[in-house]
Amino acid sequence: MLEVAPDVFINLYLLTALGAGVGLIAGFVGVSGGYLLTPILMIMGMPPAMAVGTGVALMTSNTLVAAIRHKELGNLDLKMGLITAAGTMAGAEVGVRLLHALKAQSESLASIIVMGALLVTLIIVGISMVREVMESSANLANGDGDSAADEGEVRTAACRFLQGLCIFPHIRFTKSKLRISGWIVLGLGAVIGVLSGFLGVGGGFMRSPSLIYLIGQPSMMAVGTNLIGSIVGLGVALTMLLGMSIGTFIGARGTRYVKGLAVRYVLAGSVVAACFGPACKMVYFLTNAGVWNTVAKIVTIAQMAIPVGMIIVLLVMANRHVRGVEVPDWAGRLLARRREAAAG
Amino acid sequence: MWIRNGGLIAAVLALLAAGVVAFGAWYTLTHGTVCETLLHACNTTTSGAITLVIMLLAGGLMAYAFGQTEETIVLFRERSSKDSGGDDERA
Repeated sequence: MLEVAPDVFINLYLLTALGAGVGLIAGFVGVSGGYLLTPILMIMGMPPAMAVGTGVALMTSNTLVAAIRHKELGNLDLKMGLITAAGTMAGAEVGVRLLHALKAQSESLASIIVMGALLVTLIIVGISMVREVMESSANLANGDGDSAADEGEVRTAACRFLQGLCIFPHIRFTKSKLRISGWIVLGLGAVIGVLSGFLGVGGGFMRSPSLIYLIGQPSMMAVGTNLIGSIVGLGVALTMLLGMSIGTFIGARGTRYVKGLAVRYVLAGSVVAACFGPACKMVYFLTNAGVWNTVAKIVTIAQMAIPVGMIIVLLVMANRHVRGVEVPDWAGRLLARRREAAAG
Repeated sequence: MWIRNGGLIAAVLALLAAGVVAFGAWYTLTHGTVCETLLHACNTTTSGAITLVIMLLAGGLMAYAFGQTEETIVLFRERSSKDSGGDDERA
């Protein structure tokens, strides 16, 4: 136990283990993990301002670890990452100003609107993703998907429409193997930036699905590309970074052994799980019963277990698959071909 | 063979990079007040920039450490497979 602030003692082993869990999700799915980090630090007893600062500092360094790792694995489209990041930065400023304007009207109303908007966004993204992965999975099982779907990638009507729009300049993203107007990519980044600035989240859980379903980027590329574009208990941040970067390394490495569909399954699972925390918080805002605030905090930590469990099961199955041991049918559909995985 | 191919150097470099971050974490935890005093002496922007640089350096070092670890493992595996191949030939 170490004193990180006056009268605040934190178990560093537990903190490192939780960091490893967040890192595993961040590396595998391509989110910065901010939506998990800050509540975890607050539940561990850290003052809110310090928790927010430490979370941001950790996201910065861990994003770098994950982005370098994904670049080495060939999952990073730097050009698309930089264009969406530019849009996100500009949009985030607009989102923050919107939030300040709302707060100036009424602080409590702003909290309810922000939490409600976050909840609605999570539910929409979560349900859409669950539907899509279920359909893709069924198509793969029936063997009536196209070659892209066989590889676990998606071509939605929205991405076909957006790729077909003739707005100058069209940019070829060679890494992602697609050609689309630069304004659409920039605009998408800006919309996510507005939402992320307004909702106070990093935006990874919105950017990854948008890149996959609206732009048509391969899932693995979206995982790496999404990582570009997201004061402090420095000692806690550095200690947690050690655990987090180990998790990130394993998570990023794990993407080599699975299909894009598996990544989308885990992303859908984590977005659906992420709905419960804000839902409890919303009940707390509406009823003002303190117990719901405690429940919200506990649920926020518990929600980490769902994607971590899914990733661990997938990696265990991938390990059996590479060694030539029989795996269940459902796992076989989600894992990369043995030769590709062994080469990775 | 493994050592001559740079396996040992890669392992040492990985340990060194991770060690620097671990030492930094230990130092800031045990000498928290010294670090806080230094950061509080600067204005908010400067202390934020210093923190950002420290965290980015730590992230870069960890990424480098994992890169070197992977290289060590690859070199070690290559040596192991060559050794077992040699045994087969002799057999």
